[in-house]
Amino acid sequence: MNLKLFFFLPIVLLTIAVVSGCYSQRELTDIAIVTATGLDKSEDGKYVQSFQIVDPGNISSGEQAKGGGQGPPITVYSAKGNNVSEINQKISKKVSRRLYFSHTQLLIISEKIAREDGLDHILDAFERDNQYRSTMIVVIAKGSKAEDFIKTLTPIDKNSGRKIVKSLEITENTSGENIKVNLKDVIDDLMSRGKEPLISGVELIGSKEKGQKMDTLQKTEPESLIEVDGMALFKNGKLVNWISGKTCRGVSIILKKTKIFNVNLDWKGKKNVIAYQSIRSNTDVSAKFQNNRPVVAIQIEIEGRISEANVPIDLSNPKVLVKLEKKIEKKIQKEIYAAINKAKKDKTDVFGFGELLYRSYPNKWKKIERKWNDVYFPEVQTKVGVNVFIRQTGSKNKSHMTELDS
Amino acid sequence: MAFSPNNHNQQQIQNDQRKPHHLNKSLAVNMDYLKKRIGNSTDVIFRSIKIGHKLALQLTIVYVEGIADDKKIDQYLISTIYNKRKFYDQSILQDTFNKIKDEVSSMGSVKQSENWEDILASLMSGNTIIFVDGIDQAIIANTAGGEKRSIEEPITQVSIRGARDGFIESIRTNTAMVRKRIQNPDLWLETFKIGRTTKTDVAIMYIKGIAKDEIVEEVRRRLKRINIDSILETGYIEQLIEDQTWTPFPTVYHAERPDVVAGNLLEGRVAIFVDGTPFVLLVPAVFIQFFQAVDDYYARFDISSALRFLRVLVFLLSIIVPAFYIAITTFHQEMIPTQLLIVLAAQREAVPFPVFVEAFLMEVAFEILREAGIRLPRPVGQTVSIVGALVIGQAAVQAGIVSPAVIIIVSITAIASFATPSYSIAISARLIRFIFMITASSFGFYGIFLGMVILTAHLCSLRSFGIPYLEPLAPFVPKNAGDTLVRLPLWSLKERPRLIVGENNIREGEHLRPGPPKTRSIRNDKTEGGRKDES
Amino acid sequence: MENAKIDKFQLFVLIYLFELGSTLLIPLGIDAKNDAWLAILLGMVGGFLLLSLYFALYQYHPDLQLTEYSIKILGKYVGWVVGFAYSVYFLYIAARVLRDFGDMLVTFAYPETPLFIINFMLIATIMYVIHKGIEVLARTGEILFVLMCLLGVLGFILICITGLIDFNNLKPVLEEGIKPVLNVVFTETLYVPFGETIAFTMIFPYVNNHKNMKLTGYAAMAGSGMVLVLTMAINIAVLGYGVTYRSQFPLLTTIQQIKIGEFLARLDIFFIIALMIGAFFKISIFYYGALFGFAALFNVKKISKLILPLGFIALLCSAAMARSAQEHIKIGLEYVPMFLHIPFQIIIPVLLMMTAFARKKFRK
Repeated sequence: MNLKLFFFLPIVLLTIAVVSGCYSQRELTDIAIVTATGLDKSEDGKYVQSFQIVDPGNISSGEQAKGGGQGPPITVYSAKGNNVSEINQKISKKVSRRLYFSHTQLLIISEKIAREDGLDHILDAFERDNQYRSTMIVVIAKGSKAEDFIKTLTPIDKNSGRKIVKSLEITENTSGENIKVNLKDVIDDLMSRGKEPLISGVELIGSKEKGQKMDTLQKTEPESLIEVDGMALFKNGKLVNWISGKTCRGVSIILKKTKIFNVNLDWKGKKNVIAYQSIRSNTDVSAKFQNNRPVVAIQIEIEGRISEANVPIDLSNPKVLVKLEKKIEKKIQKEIYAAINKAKKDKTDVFGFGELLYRSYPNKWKKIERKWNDVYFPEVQTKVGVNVFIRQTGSKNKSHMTELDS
Repeated sequence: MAFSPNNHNQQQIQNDQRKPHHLNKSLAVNMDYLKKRIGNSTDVIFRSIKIGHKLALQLTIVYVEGIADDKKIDQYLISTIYNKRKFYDQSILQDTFNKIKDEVSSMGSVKQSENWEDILASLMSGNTIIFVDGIDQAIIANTAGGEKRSIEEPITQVSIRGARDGFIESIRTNTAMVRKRIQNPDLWLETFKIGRTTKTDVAIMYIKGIAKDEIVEEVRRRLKRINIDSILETGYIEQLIEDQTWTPFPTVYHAERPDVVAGNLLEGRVAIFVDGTPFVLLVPAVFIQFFQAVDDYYARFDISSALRFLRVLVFLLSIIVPAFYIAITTFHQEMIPTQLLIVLAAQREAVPFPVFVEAFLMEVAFEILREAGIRLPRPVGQTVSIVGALVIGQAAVQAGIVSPAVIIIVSITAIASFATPSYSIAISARLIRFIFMITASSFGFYGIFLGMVILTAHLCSLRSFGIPYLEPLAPFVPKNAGDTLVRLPLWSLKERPRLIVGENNIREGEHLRPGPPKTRSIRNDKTEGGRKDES
Repeated sequence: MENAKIDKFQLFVLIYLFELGSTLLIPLGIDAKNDAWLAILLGMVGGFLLLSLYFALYQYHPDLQLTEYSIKILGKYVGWVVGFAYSVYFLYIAARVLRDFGDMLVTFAYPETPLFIINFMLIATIMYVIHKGIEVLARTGEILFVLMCLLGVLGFILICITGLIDFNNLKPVLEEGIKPVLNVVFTETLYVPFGETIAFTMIFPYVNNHKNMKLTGYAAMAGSGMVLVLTMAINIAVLGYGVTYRSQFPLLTTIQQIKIGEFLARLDIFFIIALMIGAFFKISIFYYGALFGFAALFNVKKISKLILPLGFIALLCSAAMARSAQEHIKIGLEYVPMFLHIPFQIIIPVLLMMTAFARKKFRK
């Protein structure tokens, strides 16, 4: 009996293994790796989703590259449908493989959808499907259709999806004018009453038709460029406004997303002649109820160095440095207030002040929850304190122009 | 008794077993019988000497040339008898017989026998038989000898540091080498003759008091149980005494070096020697032993631990790597970083086979190359394997039959399997690898996981002479775990393996840890270490 | 009962892996919102009490398993029925966990493979290991325990490095007071997984040295309990209450968030292995309990005869017990604790205790 059992089991196992036909198996040649996807709306109200698919033979530099990689590194397919799942079905008519989303890094949503329909109604499939990762980055397409972005070829980074993600990363860290938002953050913010989503935007500069041809990669300056630009404010899931420029930076600072950025200073009448670069910054946001009114206090500490001084200024004098510090503090404070006011004007709390109140005062929050964005948030008192330190001035102290003057 | 379907042999067996055949008083009859029995084999030498005052008594000395020490026989035995041949009193035969026996005994152990079984057995072992006409007994003198290889470096278990002597084919020399290392009267030796036709000398050695009596008894029992016609190598014995046959893992360890055997004897194991082979068995064996190299104990703890750990890791790698690759490229592509995925996908575009077939083909090809390399003479063999692998691999890639990634995978696996110190374990890994590849291609990581569980459970269920195979890892014995995946410093390995040894399991004293002297003088009074018991 | 011995460390390992079992998988106690971790902690405290009850019961008949001593305590007929009920209970729970685990694999890794096949593979492996006996199961546990710890530590480190943990997500603490937390404790967390240690009443007799056995049991429960608390706390800290509540398998969602550079991302499959180990042991122990329960009740001498049929019953049961993963969870939350866990984990053991106590008194 013992021997029989011992023989029976492996044979059955083996049979099952072979006969089962390996259900969920996917050969690498059977999948189409989607690196970015875009959502648009067509004239007849249906969704159009475009998929950026990598052509491995044209990208890789291995020995196996067939024909030496002459074609474009990506191919784009799109289909129309009522919802994301339906589009998935329809796309199979065009693509010779199964679409594989585990490596999709970017989701571009057109401004039209963001403004008119709002994001609430289309993001479910991306969250539910276990192939789409919730670490996928979301951006809003400014000006053009999402599809156009997907189709654009980019130099250096072979797939434009990756390029956009990387640009966002870098700007988030170095200038703070954009932030990298992933799908999970967006959905979290959509669901929460204490914070509204804030998504970066992308813009297409140059000719979009030319950007889709291989020729654009042959030139030193490509025909069309994808640039990350601006932030979109949302309210109740719909896009209400854009912010751009230095205000964005203010928002980034409050959201603790940026550390390194550049501040220009005027000196003795000349504008923007001194540049200060921050290295580290720490933001502390706290919210509380004072006399039953919400009050928010923001405390920012920044450390950095002087990176450029185009005027005769004596940087070796600590008092001069303190003066500069005060100037920077004022400037940043202004930016922060500007950012908060912009959000207040649009009546949408993208900073998450409401959520902070919820965390510490859940009962009081419950009372004002429903009217937070429209009534209470615009009236919230904010106190912003900035503390700037200039730690170094680079490898020189006085600027060379001090020699010229004297 | 299913070994000889031949009826005649069975008859002979029964005849031999029925009654011991006695010598006849007449020398002629005995010689006749002997010659018939050995079929007039021309390497059996008969020397007749006439002894006695009147040289009337016939005496015949019989020995087998080649397996008896010819020199000894010529110089001592025959010349002694020959020189004194006139001094024997032929009238009292028994006296003469005893005198001869005494004289011969000056050169070694002597006994007498009256039955053909013993005589023939001794003759075939290289002893000399002296027949005297008129007496129905014969003298058996120990003159075993013959050509043997000189002691050289062992081929299979090479060490960087440590002795360079390895076992040879003579059982007596082998046991002597072990004796030299353990100069202790508690080292006991027992001999058996196993193999109905070959009548091979088999010996076991163990240290009384350290080895568990039950284990020694069990070894004896199993050896006695063997009923086979030939024992040509310890491998035969291994396969007949092991605990489980239906497993790819060996439960008996073998060694070619006396220091390894000595070390294992000190841990309570029993060594089994077989005449005619330099490989000595050691039982009971546990899994970890197969990952211990000789040098581990001679080198310091940090490098030993790292290498030990590496070996186990490498063993696991050699089992799992191809399966892992198959699983990850067919089921779990999300785990591969995007860039790498694109590169792999590009490679696969050019290849016509599914991953499993590719990997399987290359693995089989590699196995074939390896087998080919072993059979060829040594210098040629190495070159063929390496060149063959490289060239064939390269050509296959360029022809587009396999992808470079698979070549890399197969190479890693092959190199990993070479790093395992014990050949027997490396073989088991080679077989198991294929099973894992199959499960991986059906179920991906789930299949690999289930395979690992079954493998682990299987390993856990194995026993070697009653000792759990994965001791001291599972069941976890903390005191002994210092010598498993790592090798903690020698001064901390205080106990012998608890389950193998019985009571006497302290092998080191306390406070053995060496340290620098506390004062400027050389002596360090604090840590006298093992000297404590001496004082 | 088979002739086997396990030592205390093996018992520790078995209880630890059993407790972690499929619990890491499910959103345990999430009805307590941000305080789910607190619910688990309190459940653990309750678990200590239950465990002490089972130990006390064990003391009356240290050489017998639950199904055997229930006959001794309650008499031939009632005891037999109770033993039978327990065996069926154990088998049912084994099938439940099998289903839990199969659902998870189908959702996350193998969407096209039928549940039956996945479950079949696991139950076949379990049948093989159980066939070798409890000693082999314990030793396998010792080795896989190390792997489990390694994966746990690794996961924890990776999550910390990625900086995903935001302790603010755990606030507000006790938003609605302690009452909802206690509610969750007494409807969910006390029974799963802490009360399920009732299955170990079938394993206690094998421990070779009864001294300090209780300590081992408590230590194992504490260790696994703390891991569960920590895991749930991290889940909420990383994902926030909302996502955790809506996820079928929150720990996996958390692991999916790990992204360090381009290289260390999408590592969920490694952590599925940790879940597999846990599920394997949980199902094994329950299955073992059912096996020996039935064997004792029906006087079956050769245990191996029962392995195959019981395995198939468990397999079929797991496939058929619910139409969808959601229904399965609903049954598990609404019906199972009330009708199964409370009687089998609390009521009957208390009855057994009282009866055994009374009997002892009478004998005097």
